[in-house]
Amino acid sequence: MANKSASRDTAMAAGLMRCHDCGKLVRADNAPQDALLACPRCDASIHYRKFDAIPRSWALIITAAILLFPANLLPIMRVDFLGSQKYSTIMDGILYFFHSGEYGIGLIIFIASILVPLFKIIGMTLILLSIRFKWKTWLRHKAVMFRFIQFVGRWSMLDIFIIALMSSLVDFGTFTSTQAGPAATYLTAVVICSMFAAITFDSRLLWDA
Amino acid sequence: MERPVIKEKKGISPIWILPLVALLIGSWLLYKDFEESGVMITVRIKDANGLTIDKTQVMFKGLPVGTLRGFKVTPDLQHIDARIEMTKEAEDELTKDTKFWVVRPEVSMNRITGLDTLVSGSYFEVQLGTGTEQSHFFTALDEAPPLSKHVPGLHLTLQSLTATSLSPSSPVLFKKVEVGEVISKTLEEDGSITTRIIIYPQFMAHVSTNSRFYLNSGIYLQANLPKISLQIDPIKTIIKGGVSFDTAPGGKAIDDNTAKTFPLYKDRQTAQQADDIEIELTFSVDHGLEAGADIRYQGVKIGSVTTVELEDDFKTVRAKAHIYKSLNRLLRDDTYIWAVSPRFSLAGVSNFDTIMKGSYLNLIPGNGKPTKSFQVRDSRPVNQPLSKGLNLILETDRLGSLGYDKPVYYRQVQVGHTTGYELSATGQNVLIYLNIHEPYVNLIRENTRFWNMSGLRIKGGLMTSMKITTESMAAILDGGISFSTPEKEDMGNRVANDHHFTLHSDPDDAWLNWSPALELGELPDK
Repeated sequence: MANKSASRDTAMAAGLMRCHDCGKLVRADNAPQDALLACPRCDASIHYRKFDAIPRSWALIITAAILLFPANLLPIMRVDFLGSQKYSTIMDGILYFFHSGEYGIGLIIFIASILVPLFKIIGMTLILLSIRFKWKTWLRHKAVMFRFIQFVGRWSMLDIFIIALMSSLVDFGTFTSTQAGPAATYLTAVVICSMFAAITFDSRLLWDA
Repeated sequence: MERPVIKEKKGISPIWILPLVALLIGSWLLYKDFEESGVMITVRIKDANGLTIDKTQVMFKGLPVGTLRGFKVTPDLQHIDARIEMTKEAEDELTKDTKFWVVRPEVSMNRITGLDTLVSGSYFEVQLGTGTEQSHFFTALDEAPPLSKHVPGLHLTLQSLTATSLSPSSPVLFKKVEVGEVISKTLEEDGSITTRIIIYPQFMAHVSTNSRFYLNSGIYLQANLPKISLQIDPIKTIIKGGVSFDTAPGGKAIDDNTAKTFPLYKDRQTAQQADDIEIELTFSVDHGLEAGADIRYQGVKIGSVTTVELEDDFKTVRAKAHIYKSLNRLLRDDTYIWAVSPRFSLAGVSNFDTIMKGSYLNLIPGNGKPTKSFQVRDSRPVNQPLSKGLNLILETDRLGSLGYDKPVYYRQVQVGHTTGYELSATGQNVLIYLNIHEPYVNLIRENTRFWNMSGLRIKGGLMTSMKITTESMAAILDGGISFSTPEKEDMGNRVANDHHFTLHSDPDDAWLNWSPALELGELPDK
């Protein structure tokens, strides 16, 4: 093997790339910067770091942040009761559960629909900022945070599922029926965008600085 | 080691479309919210029972046009200012005369309304005004305003002195069909009550200047023995009250020029009598008449007595009566009115119907000037000639058992009756008036002989043969007159009304044998 015992200890510094799909190791010493390279064995896109990871993550996180506002301000659910319609937002639902004593459910919805998206967005923003400004502290925690963000992403869909189930189960015609409100769409978009932000992010970038 | 393959690089990453889209969506939402936000107004209300912030709506004809956003108590602590957000479309209609009121359930004897609020909560209702001046501050009315004057239909005003149980939206009925409703009821300064009603456009033709409006009492009881009639209106009318009207034919239609004010009578009977003529009757003797007694002509009721009062001198009784309007030509100077009460005598009970129904007044019209005040006589008139048949006058010494309505016989078949009697002007004999019925008029000729046939006739004495002739039993008891007409040329010509004859006390034998062939007129069907 090549005795590249340079003081650099990253594969990137050594000019080595590894294909994500088939694992082949290739050398890319004199590849031009920003070129699109493909694996010679399986033709998957191959790169030192995920392509355009930073801008993509930024874009997605900003989208998620913008869409968080309609998701929380617009009503997520509409309950028809004997002809009169009542709209409720996410916070309304949480407060309702708390008021009626169902602390468990209230807590779950609060965590899933408000805490987690906020956490993901703030977390990703922090990670992206630290890469941008090359902050070197707390790297390990940031890595853990990122793993957590990746893992918990899909759980924000909990609220959407609740509403979908209620719409189909609580349908008694004029007496009472429920329907999803506009915020449901936006909440879904927030969750998808934050999930994609985590996917397009390359955690190796944390350690590059 | 292999080298990676170099691929072409694309331009600026399209990933930035996403935040761009998100930004567009966000700003569009903001813009939409701003565009659609309505105008804030304040409505002053007395209390906020049943009103919920962000939920209570303002309805216009069943559509929501605003939402309640907040409350604020006025500094004087007497009212509450409700802040309401009205939709953008309604903003143009918020003029100074726009009216707001709170709809709450109301269950009372008079009305049951607003029950939908029991389920959905109270709400505001608005009646948009038509003025031009805009306003953002309103004071809520206490209850729904009455139908405005601009609602199409016929607007009428009814006036009454007595209390009514009417309230806005009480029905106006014509032949028990709802044709309108009460708009408002106000108490005037002089104590009378002005009720404003509206007749819906499709029923306007039923109202004319001859319409009479009266209150529905719901239960009508009329007792004219032996007939008693009880009518009960539908429960809805009893509870809600209401006004009914009848329209007599012949009135003019109501248009812009005719007066639109009518009196409101307290019941149907008063309304029907409204047209009647009021006359005054003075009595000098107690006739047993009470308020409500009939006044009759030819056996038909033409009016009734309304009040009976004692005069100041305590000697005469004054009564007021109503006569139906169409019969006012009967009311002349020498119209003869007398009271008919039950009479018991050996000959039988006369005026039997008065025992059941009470005394009544009988009337014979006279000629002369129309008048409205009459003296009630003590007894029936001397003579009540009939218009049909032949009226004759018989003269005799004594009345005997003759009187009114005694039969007149020809061959023991009744062909007429007496109609009256009186002393002659000189007091020397009695005049008896008879009427021979239509079909038998031909039987009377110039030389017809009349005799009194009451009782037995005993002729002769102990020495000669005794002849006892009697007439029919009825004649013995009742009294009666018989006549016979000579045959052929002896009979003479037919006579005119009021021809005089002599009433003999006994017939000659010869008379009994007369048997002329005389044609009778058309006999009435048996």
